[in-house]
Amino acid sequence: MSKKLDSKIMQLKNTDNQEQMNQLIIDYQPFVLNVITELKKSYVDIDNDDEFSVGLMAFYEALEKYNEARGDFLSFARLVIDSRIKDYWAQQKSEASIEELERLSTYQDVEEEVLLRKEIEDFEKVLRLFGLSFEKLVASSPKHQDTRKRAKEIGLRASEEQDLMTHLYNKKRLPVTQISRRFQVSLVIIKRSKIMITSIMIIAKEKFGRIMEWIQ
Amino acid sequence: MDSMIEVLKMIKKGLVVKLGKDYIIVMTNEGEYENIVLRERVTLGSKIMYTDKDVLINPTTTSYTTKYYRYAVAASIVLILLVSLFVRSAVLYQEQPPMEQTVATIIAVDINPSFQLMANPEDVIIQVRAMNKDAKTIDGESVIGLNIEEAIEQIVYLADEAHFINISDEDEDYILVTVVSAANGEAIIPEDEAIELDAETTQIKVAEIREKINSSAILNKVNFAVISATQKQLEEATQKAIPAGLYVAGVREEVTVKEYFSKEEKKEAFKTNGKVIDKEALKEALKEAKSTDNNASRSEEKPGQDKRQDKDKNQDKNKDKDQVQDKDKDQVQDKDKDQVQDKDKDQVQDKDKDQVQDQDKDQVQDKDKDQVQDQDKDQVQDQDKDKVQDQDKDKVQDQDKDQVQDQDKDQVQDQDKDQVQDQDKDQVQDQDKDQVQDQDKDQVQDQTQDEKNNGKQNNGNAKN
Repeated sequence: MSKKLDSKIMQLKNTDNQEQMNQLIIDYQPFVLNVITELKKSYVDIDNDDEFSVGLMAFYEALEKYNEARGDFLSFARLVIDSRIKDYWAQQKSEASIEELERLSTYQDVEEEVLLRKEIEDFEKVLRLFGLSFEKLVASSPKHQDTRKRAKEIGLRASEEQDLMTHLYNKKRLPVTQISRRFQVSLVIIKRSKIMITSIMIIAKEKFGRIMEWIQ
Repeated sequence: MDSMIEVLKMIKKGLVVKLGKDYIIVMTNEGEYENIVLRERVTLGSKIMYTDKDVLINPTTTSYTTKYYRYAVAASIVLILLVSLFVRSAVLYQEQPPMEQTVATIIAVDINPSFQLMANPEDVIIQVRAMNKDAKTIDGESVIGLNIEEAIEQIVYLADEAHFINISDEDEDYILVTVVSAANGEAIIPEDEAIELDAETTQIKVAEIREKINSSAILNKVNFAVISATQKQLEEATQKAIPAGLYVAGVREEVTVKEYFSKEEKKEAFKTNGKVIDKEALKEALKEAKSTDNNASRSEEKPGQDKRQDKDKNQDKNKDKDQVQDKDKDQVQDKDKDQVQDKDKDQVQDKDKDQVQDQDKDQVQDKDKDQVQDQDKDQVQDQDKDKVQDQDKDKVQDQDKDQVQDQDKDQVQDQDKDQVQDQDKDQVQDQDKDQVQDQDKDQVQDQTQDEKNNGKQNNGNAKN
């Protein structure tokens, strides 16, 4: 399989097919991320993704420099990414004092983080009232992307209906039949996504704005 | 080695919501929750990037290299399968009894898309076959594990969502359900035609499915045609790419379900072997059941033969739309209470007769009706248990009216109406008040009617 990739890259280079080259970089973004994550032994932060940019640039560099004599492309790319990331870290260290000060989040950022953490902790507590937990949410998360989207939508719409919300909170049970009837959605779908819909409604009801912002 | 595998992955964005002992739970920005590998310097509330490679399948088992973990899982599944071939009563089965894998019933659902659902003796779908291109665009696999009527409902729902049909327009969409059933839950072995299929079991199944269609909020929005078939017929139909139920009805050339049922004479021909359940017929039955039900709770009796007969006639004919509309108009305009009461009373008195007649005519319709009654009873109870009778009466009228409106209006507006059906007390009372006011002014009613019709036309135009 890799041989196929190697020759494909050579062909793209020879014909100078920029469009497909860009597509290739997009397709291999997860690969770049995995290499960095493994090297770092930690996850790349979304708000602080300079490493990811460095990694992507390194991948591009690898594409430019690659020829068949270098063997397997992905091994080669991994080497280049490793080395560029390490360069970046070394550079960071030397500039640490300035960089760090810049990065050291402003007071506002810190406050945001604290509030988000608080929301998550509160969310877990409320879930427990409903006999739910994050573990259960993992186990029941709809696998199909469309199903998930639909469940989210139903949850958001149901959150706007006061009586459904009251029913959920009083009885600690999702009024599946009523939701099915009101939104003209198959009962099966609601039953299957019961836990996810419940969790969305809880987030809305408790006004966990930061969590809500994350999923919207 | 892993070039192609990498391509399939996606970068996901996760909000860390829980730090477990040896796993992290993240919530993706799509609202999905996943366990991922625990790594250094992760704090609650941090937003991180990860890929499927980091996802743990089972967090209770410690594993830092998910890759090997997955191989282990795959290997153990193979092992379990091998073992279970020899030792059926393995301990594993005691923990989670396996689903019965024998196919006892095949249900062909043709809307276009066309599916064949294989159900085990417990009527649980264990296998799904997408029979044409359109079917493959739908997540048919999602019905596995559901029972038969849930599965049909789900498929109708998905077909609607994918715009193969539109359950909320006036258009005549038909769902053809063809049932093939083995005797007493014995296995159907597609290769072996020697097994005699039990016509009776199939018939019972057909009747069951018909019944269940009525009780579903979605299924009673479309027209249904239900028929039974032998396995041989099913196979021949499949080979010729003709919807199985139509094949039974004598169709030999390619035709879509919708085309077939758009012709009145074809519909009649189908009825000799199968059963057509129009949504109009369903609604009428529902409406009928509601008023009868309401009267059953009261004990007044007075004769009024003529009206009842008219009504019966209407009902028996599976009436076409014009008739329905006429009747609707009557109901809306004839707001004279006495008259309505008379009608109601008639029904009480003639209820016994009705039942006998219905039995003579059509057992299944009767059954449907009973079920609809039950459903209605539930609804009424839901709404309000302690209301006085007069209010009850109003309410039922109100519901009837809702139904009338459902039929007349484009159903995009339906949601509001359905909310009214789910109504709490206050809403009902408000509406009743409105209704009384309306009753005082027939002209206003007429106007409303006109508006409705206009609205319908507009909607129709919009659709075109």
